[in-house]
Amino acid sequence: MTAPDVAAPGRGLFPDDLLRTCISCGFCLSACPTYQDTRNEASSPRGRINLMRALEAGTLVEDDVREELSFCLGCRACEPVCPAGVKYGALLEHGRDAVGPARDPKLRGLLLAVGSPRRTRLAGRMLRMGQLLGLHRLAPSRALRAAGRAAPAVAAPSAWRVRRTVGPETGEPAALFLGCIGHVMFSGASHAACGTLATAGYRVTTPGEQGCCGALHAHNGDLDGARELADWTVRSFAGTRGPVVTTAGGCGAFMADYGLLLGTPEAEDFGARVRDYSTLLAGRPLQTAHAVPIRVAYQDSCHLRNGQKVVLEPRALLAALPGVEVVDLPSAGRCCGAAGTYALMRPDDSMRFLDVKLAEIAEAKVDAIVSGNPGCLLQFRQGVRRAGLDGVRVLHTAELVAERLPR
Amino acid sequence: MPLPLDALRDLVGPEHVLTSEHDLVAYSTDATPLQRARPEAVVLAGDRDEIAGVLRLAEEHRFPVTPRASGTNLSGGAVPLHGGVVLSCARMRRLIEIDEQNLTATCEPGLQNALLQEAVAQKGLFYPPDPGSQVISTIGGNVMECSGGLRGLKYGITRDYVMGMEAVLMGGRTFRVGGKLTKDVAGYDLVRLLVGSEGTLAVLTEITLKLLPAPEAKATGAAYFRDLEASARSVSRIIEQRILPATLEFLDQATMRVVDESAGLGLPADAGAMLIFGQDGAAPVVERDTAMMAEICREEGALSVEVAADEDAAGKLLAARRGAIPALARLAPTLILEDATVPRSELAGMVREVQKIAEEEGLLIAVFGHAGDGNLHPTCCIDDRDPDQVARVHRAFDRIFDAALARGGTITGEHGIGVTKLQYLEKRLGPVGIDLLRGIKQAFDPLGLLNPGKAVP
Repeated sequence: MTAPDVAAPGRGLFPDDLLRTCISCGFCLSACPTYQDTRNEASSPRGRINLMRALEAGTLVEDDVREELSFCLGCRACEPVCPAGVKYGALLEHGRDAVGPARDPKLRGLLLAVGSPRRTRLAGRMLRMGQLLGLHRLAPSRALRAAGRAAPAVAAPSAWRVRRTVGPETGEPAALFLGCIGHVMFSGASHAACGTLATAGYRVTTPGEQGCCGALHAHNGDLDGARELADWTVRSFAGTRGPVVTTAGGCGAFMADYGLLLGTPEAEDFGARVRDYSTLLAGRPLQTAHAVPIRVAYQDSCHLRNGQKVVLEPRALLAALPGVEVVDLPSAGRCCGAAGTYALMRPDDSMRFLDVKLAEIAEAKVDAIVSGNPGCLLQFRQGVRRAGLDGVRVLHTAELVAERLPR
Repeated sequence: MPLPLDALRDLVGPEHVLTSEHDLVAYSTDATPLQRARPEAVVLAGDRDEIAGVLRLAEEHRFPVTPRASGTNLSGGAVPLHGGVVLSCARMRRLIEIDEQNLTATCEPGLQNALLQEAVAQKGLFYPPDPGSQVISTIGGNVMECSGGLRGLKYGITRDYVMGMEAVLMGGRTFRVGGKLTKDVAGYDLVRLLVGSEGTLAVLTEITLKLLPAPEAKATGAAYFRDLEASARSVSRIIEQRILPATLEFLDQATMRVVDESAGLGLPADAGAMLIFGQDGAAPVVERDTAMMAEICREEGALSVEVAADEDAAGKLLAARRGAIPALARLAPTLILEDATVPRSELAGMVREVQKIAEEEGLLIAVFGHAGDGNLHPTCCIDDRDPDQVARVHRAFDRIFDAALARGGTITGEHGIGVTKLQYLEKRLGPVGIDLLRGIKQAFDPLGLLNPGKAVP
């Protein structure tokens, strides 16, 4: 009956030291949305690590663990509560890489679309065209149709371009990372970030041929694809100076760990430069205009909170804006169910995690929901429609900051 | 005999009977290192009747049942050594009632300790037992293991707060013992008998706990010493001064280092030991006791002493201490952890003994624990792939247990016998004690199907 699930040597699917850090104390169970949902040990971070160990040892095979690794949101809420410092996010990437990407046309299409800047632009044009013609109504899956309805109108391709350099010539240098599909859909956030950083005194450079950071590939079982994109990103920022600024919590957390992914000194240096937009304005003299009062709920991006440990800065930034009242919802730190491609791949599970928040938003009577990650913004746009909260705006942190600055 | 899976599915719903390979792997372990055995099925029970139904089927079909909730056990108690069914009550997590007249709380066994603490605190009440795992460990598990925690010296442990319970015997008969009564001497004290019975006598379905009024004020401080000796002297002096602190925790250098790394507290790197002290109660008493404890530490040569500025800072300090065990995982892949306990007055000598044993066996043994309770947590940080290290650990713990017993101590203060300490139990209880345990087990579970292989040799 005794089964040695940790045998040596293993199959080499996981870096050994990552897998061995966990001592199964179980502290993570309290923070895990999927464990709290099912109360099944296999749906917990500790349980999943035990599955990965069994996979490594060969006592379980890929098909045994596929579903639980897919059910995981990848929100990394387990990491800040882990006293042993287990890198669960990295483990999950290896686990999903071992079982391979899902054979789902939606996912395959998305990964293909973000695979190069040229393809992303092409996808953006198709998306825009589809929206103009109302084609999303014909989409082959319910999740796609819902996302299509909730998606903001994709701006004309000319609006995707961000000026190469803005801000005072003597300003502190910063380099802006735009992202891929998130930028195409929420280009307003990129422009807002660029403009407000310049107003705050940064000299902002936006490298032209940048692309996807690779997070979508890594989170969906294609580490090689992710490495290629990461390598491209590091090279496209060569020659820039100062922090690499992101407006997407998911991209930022992933890029901060490039050193671990690529193992090169360049990647290590690049990772150390990555900063979230919300951390760069603290203490900067921002000329703000008088503004009508607005009550906003700040919703953490999981990878911003749990990956980059950026929790207080965006709240403080928003609270310092004139007329802005920031409300902390009880579940602000919990995953909204967007979770990268999760909402697309597992719409029912995704909505269950979102619904908790919608009830809180309705009760808090806020004017807007603010978040620092495009995926969360899309999810909340979908959510407020679903809950009939049509008056509630969904904004990126940078957009609200830009709104409050004098024109 | 194969498990009656269809009957189990009818009973609790097919989605709550887990039989796939990956689920069985996930339920092969708890938080105990090196203990692992696969169940044949897992049942996630939703209420008392489902638990009774499972135990009825178990008796009828003669399959072993291992009860469990969050699986934070440190002595292998939730590992299904003989296969059969793991019966989880993790879904049963209702707080049924907070009775502000009788000062009791009644809940289901799967409720997390921290959630109960929060709920009663909102009513100005207080449930003192706070095991290190409190964020996730459940009241049911706490009661079955008689968990301790950081407040033992002043407030006692779980058994001091369990007033009544509803439970189910193997075979499915349900019964209640105790209640909301401060005084009740009707019959043997079955409540106390069940507390700490490690899931071997009955399965809990409801628990009534004693609450206290929340203390008016709290303060927590930390003193840093050159070595453990000096901190142990401070502990003795504090007790001699007739102070009964709410918290008195010590950490050695290795533990301090990892806790600091994990919680980012910025502890002084040159210190060899740390003492966390705290008091709660009426504000003037808290202030006086805290100042006296700080003064005693200074007199005993503390390198520095600080009192946390506010509750936030105090909470961080205590949370860091609670995370000490898993934080030690930063040092080595496997932690073999015990909780030998000695009378308080023997603590300093016992710590010296552990350090001597560690040196002689060539092992890294981190030591921390509840100074006020004489409850040590010597933790061997090893790589279990090295059989020689494993052998030395076993030898070291044999010696540590003997040393604790020789000082009038015990082999486990709060983690339970489970499977890992079964072989040492007779040394502690003697042959008569073991016979009595066996007789009690026989009275409750004559077929030996409830959590077999644990707690009773």
